[in-house]
Amino acid sequence: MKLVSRLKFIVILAVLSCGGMQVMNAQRLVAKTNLLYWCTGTINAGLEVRVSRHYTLNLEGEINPLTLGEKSLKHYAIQPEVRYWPMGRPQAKWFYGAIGTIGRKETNLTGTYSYTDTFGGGVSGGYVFVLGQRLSLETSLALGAVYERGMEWKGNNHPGGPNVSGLKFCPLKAGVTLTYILK
Amino acid sequence: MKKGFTYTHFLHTLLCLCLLIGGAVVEGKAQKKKDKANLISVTLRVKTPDGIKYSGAKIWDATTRPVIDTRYRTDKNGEVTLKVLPQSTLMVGEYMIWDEKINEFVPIDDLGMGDDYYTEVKVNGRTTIDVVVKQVMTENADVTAETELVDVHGEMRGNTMVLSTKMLVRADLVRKDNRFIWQPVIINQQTKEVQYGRAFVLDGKEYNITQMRNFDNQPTNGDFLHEQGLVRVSHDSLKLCKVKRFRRPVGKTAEIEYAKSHGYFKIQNADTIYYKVTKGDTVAFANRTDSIETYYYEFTTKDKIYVDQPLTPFAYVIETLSEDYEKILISDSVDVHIYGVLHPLRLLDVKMQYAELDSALYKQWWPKPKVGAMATEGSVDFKFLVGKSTLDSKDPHNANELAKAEKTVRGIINARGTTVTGLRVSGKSSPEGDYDKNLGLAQGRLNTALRILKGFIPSDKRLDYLEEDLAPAVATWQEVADSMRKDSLFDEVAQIEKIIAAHSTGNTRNDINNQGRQISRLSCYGMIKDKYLPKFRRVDFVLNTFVRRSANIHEIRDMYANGEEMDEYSFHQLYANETDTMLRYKYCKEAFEKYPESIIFRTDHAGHLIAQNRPDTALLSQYTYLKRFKIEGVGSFKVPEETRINQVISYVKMQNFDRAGKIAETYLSGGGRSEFAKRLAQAYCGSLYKEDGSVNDTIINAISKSSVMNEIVIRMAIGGNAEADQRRRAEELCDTLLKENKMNAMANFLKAICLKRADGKESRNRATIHLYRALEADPQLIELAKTDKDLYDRLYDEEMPVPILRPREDWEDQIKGNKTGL
Repeated sequence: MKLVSRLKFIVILAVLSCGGMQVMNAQRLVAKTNLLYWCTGTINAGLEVRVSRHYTLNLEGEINPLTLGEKSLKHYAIQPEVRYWPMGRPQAKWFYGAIGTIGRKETNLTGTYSYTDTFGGGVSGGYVFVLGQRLSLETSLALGAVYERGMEWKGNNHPGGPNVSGLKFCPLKAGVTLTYILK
Repeated sequence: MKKGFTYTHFLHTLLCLCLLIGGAVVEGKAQKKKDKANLISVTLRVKTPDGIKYSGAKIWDATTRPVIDTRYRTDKNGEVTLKVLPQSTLMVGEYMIWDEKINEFVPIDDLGMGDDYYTEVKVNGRTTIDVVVKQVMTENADVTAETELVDVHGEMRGNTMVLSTKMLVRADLVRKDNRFIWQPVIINQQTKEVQYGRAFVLDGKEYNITQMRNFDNQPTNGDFLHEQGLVRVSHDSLKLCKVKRFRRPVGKTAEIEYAKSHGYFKIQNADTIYYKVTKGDTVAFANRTDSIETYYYEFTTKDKIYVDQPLTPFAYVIETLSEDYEKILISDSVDVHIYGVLHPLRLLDVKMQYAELDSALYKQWWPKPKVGAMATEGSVDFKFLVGKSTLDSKDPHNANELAKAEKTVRGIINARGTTVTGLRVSGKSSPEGDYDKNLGLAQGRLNTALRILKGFIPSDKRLDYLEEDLAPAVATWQEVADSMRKDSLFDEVAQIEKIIAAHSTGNTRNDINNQGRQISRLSCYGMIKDKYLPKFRRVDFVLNTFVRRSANIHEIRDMYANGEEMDEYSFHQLYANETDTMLRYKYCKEAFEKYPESIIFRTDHAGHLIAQNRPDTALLSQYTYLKRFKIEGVGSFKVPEETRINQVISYVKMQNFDRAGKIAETYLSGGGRSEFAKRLAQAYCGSLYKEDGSVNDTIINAISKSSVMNEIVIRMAIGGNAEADQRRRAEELCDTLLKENKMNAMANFLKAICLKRADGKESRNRATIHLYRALEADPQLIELAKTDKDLYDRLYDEEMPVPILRPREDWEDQIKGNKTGL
């Protein structure tokens, strides 16, 4: 069963990669990383693909493996986003869009352990400063709602099953992102 | 919590995302293809609210921004056709309007800020749309205009207009994220044809980077300005300067309102009011009294434009556009002045004499007259009665052939001095039937033909003893098969050739008889008999003649009058001996049409067309790059100077000065007959100066010899350091003409032009007086005056507001009253 699942995963990933590569060959491709997240030890990277004069598709992923004794900031997430650029010049000036997020966190910052899955969506916007022929600096903010489901406990009182769930409104992303046009 | 929760959702989300991306891409590409296929042709008919056809209105496709294209504009009839998507939105803007009263484009003042000055038109699938634009008129131009034309200097060199333009652009408008386009437009004042020069483009740094990103660092991929050609204005070439403008003080409240409405705001207290235009650097400040100082960037651009008719006056207009990726920020034209660009030699009045090769010098190039023994071939296709040697007189085909044969023979023998010395007639009969009988038949038929042909030759045209030769023959069956092969009857041919091969012994007579017997049994024999055997009943003949002498001129003239066939030598005689000009034109034209390879007829015909004011540069174009040419049987020769002279004159008359100048420079010696043509072509080409910058006196002297008027014009054309001296000399010549009371109108006109270029108010006033005198002597000169804006403005000098048609004494008194010092 495990082998079948693993195989299924590999096949799906391969198909997605081929589709992704096909897209990448045809369109402008930008690589990026959020400097603000690096300040919190979160490893992150993203790809943005231009699909038309005004629209781009953005996909960012992050992972934070940090644990300091009892404290933990571990989490990972993927954020797909659709962006609209009114000026028709992607990676220059204003944009706004719709963002989604899906992730898992295993945190303990204040003595409360949290092991939750999250997914949600919201709106995003930002402004890009053109630094050079390929380099730009993007500032962005996203707000929206996420649905969380998981476990929270203190000390050794592990609940054994999900004991928290619900919708909450919060910032989904804040970024000072360095972008580089690959092609 | 099961691990699969996030894992499954993660995979599902990723799958959805990739499908979304792929779908978007495919859809985008399909849409692009669909869009291209769906373009429709739309004609806009634009009018003002008053119903006047709106020419020169700019059209902009708002659906496909940010393409800014100033070349889409309505024509003289207010119409324009362009290809767009059926659901496009077009913007129609104001610029210039056609004034039918003065037959010119007249600019419409407008402050041109963004979309406010365009009318939106939704296509909605329509192919013809009537548009009525909003017309914006302003009474006073903004003293802080976005762009200004400081100076333009246009010079015609040959067919090239060299334009040097100095412009100002307001400093605050030059941003990193916008593009400025200055589009020079040349308008032929006679034909009203509009021509565009290369656009001057100033890109902000960020604009340039994003533009390169947009087009993958290859601007020719989609930046249409690059495809059309542009002149880059670099930021390094911009010079910051302060420009002071004065305006009337209008009171504090009105002033504040004016300032607010134009983006100013106060930075100091009310006693001395200063206003900044932008929040950043100070680009303008105003005080209560009278002036506004504004910061501008100044730059100069130079470019060349090829024009077809350089002697006609041109108006020069600069259009300005500024856009920031998405919308037009500024749309303007330098409509304060329209500068006239004039060729300095447009007033030359030259009569260029074409050259002819019809002289004793070139007689060696005439073809030789035909004298001596000659043999001429001909053929007739008589239809004889079957099995007989007599012609079928009822067959109308024979009547035609008889007439044809007679015409052929008479054409040969009618040449003067011709005597027939012999006649050879040959022919075949078909191989059907007995060989001996067929040979006898052939002999008989040739005798008939010989008799007929001899009958066409009068006794005085032939020798008493005429050498006659008959060559009868019987066609072979192989000849019949070859004839059938040409019609692709391969099966039938194979059958015949099989029989031929089987019955070939080397004895022609027996072979033809035996083969014929077998072939007659073939199923296709009926077709062979009806269609192919009759082809072999044909007669060919050769007429041997002797020509003792060529025709003399009287005989040639008679031949021409009678419409007889004339050879090249006869045409040369006819043409060379004719003195009447119109007849010479006629003979030369006909000779050229019949013998186009003759350089003499070609050169002279080109010259005659010049004389008739219908120059044709194509006639002699084959000699443009040819140094030598060949005459069959005579030799190889250098292309004569007369041919080059006519070439140069043709090009000059067609105002193709560049080509005329090149040919003159390369091929004309400049001596004798070619001197004037060469110097004139060089003058029109702008070669009035030598390489060291000094005036080319050779050209000046050559042109001056033609007339005093031309000397004045050529001296007025000199610029640079020598301008003042040459202008003084031109003025003196004008005075000489006026003293001698010669050509008063033109002399006054030229003097007015000289004086308007001089410094000082007195000179300008005197220019006005001489212009008035010229117009009084010849009112038609007003049309010429209109082509020179600076000169024309003299008539409307505020210090001398004198109507043109007042009596001379009146305005001379008035002028004296204005203390002109005259």
